Amino acid sequence: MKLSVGLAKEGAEKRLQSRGVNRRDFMKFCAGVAAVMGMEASFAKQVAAALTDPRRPSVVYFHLAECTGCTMSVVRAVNPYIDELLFDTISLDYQKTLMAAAGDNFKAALEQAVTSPYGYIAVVEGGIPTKDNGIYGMTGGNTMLEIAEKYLPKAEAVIAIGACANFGGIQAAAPNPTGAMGVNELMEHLGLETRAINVAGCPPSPYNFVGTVVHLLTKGMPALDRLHRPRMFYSETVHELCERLDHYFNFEFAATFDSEEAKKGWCLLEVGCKGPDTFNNCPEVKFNETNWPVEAGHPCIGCSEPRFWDQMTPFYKPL
Amino acid sequence: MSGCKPQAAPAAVMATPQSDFTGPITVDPITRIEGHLRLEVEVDNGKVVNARSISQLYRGLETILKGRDPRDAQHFTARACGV
Ligand code: SF4
Ligand code: SF4
Repeated sequence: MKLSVGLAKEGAEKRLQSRGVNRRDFMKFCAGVAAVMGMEASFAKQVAAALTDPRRPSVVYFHLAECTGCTMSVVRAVNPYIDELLFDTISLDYQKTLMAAAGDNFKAALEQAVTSPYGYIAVVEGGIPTKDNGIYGMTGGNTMLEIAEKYLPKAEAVIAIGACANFGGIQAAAPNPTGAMGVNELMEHLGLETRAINVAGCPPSPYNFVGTVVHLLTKGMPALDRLHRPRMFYSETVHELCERLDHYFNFEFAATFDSEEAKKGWCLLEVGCKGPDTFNNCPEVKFNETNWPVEAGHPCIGCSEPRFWDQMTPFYKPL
Repeated sequence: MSGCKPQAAPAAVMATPQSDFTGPITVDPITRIEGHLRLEVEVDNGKVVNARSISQLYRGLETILKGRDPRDAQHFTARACGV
């Protein structure tokens, strides 16, 4: 995987070309993003323009209390160029998992990115430990609490990627030993504006993330649901979009994972599927453009919903 | 192992650069990994006398797992590291 990250302001298309991504591939990707956003195919042109505009803002990506699964979802290498498209075109100027710089150089990259004349979009992966002044999560000499307080209010926009940044995630599961919070919860707690867009899931689909960035660059703030999730991706339940829905309506349920009914692809409600209570587009978008849990034979665990580690568990107990 | 032949040592082994540096070296964060790692190295007259690697995130996953349905554990432990 060849990755180039960092202050990639101009000539993004040329650089992509030099790495074997031609205009056609690029437009195909843009059309994919447009489709997931629910736009006409003609919108792909605007997607392309937004992603290569030399005046696009810096994207600054903060890793807080997380597992990096969200980063992996975005950089997954099945489609060999999506990672390059993403990181070169959106001008990702600060990303801990991917950047070569470490220590002081890395911190300098952050300062440079947050003073970009075109502003910056802050992306947060991970929850924020708040107990005992946030001592449970530190990086670069600061607590994650300090980092969130310092850099999030000044950003043009804040995108919380994944359950951890949305609603606290796995570390906020009972008994929440570190007092972990999601971004909006923290902002409310600090008396600041709760404006993070929640790209929900554990991890979310990379298309939902890119689609959100593109929407911000082309049309501004996307319409959000009451949980701050972009409506374009999270307005229908997994159940409504599921390919097993006919079995559900015919009362055809698999009682166990090793049953004949399970092999026949019947509905997984009785083995714990949380699809009916979960708003997400996995059945449509799929992971790695290949598959999604229910199609692979595992029930939905409800990962785009608040506190799903407590609300949706035990995972194998029927709703 | 069959097929392995002993190889001649390289003609010139590069000498370790000499230094009389004394003091601490800290690298934080270490990038290109999952997690939040900090390295602290104490150097005395060019020699490393102590080194510590410190992982700076505690989430309490073990505490969280207590008392849960054992079948759920696979989903929790999968998020110890997602890389
Ligand atoms: S939301 Fe899930 S995949 Fe993303 S960092 Fe948190 S635990 Fe990992
Ligand atoms: S498998 Fe789950 S999401 Fe699909 S129809 Fe059954 S309950 Fe709904």
